[in-house]
Amino acid sequence: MSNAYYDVARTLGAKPSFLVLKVAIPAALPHVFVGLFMGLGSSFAVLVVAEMIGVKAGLGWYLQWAQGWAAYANMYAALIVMSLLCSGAITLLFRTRDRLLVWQKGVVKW
Amino acid sequence: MVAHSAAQMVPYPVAGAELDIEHVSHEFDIDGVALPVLEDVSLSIEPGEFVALLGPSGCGKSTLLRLVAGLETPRSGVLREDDVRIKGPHPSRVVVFQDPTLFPWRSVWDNVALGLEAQGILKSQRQRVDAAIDLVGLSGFRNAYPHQLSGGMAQRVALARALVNDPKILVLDEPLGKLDSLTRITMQAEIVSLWQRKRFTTLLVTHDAEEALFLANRVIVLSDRPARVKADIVVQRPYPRHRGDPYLADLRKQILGLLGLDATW
Repeated sequence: MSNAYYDVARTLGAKPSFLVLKVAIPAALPHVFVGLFMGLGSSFAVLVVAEMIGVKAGLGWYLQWAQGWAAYANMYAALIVMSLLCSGAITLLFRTRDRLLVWQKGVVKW
Repeated sequence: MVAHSAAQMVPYPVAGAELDIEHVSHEFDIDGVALPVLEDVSLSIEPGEFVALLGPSGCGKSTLLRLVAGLETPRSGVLREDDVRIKGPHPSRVVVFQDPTLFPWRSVWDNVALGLEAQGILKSQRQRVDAAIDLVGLSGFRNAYPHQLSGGMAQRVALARALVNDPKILVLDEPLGKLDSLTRITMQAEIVSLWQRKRFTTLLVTHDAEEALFLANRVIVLSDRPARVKADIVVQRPYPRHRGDPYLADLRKQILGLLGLDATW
């Protein structure tokens, strides 16, 4: 973030706690949400892959197991559940962001 | 320093502070090499005076302002506000920067309230925020966010954010530099009328000689880096001034000459 925000706040009489709580955190919040979004996506992908190879539990494992038994209906059901979970988590994240970062509405297109 | 009475020309009570800059020198470290930016700058500014600092680009004008604001401390020399040494930022000396630097996550009202909130006196002084917004003529935009404002409006909000603190010294760092020329002309007149009403001491950095002469009681011309005071010109003209005034045109020519730019005049 720009140092100019700190300069402005300091000349207006801001103390260090104000600089952190009212300047640094609000200014960093958009980046925090970008990080959360990317982290959520990759952690989901890694989780499913890990379940497919390492363990005997979870949707990833069930997907392979159903495929092994040629239970394709179950397999596709697992796929749908998986995508719903993933998009649900992302929607929840975006809703939270929209609520916290209302001011960004006109700045960034999402 | 030149003795003068320009500050007393306007019949309003003076609310500004005296500003003394005494033998201030400053330098920057760039990769371990000291780059001098200010060299023995001394200025004495009377309460309520409007002083413009004019100089070539990159000469250290803005650095001088940062020292006045207390955002940096000089390598040598002293700055005093009403005989009190300037040691750090204080809301009695507020800066308006070239960029409005409004906080995009705050509405206009919340941006203007910033100073009072930081000082912990917002709850009892909310009417001051409304008054400052009215003063710059943005009453209809209290709840707007900065991205919804035009450049001129954003700079007006930045002015209100400064004025709400009732500064004794208003520091303007090329506040109109990025505005279009029509907005700039309007805002220049607005700054003069705000200053006449409030009578704070004003220090304006600009590289527009015409703007300096239109606004200021006194124009200080700085040399190329490291900045030294090259000339101290008193502008003896009452307000409102007129851009076509031959007296101002003469001064402008003189100033451009000092800056080595008179060949095109």
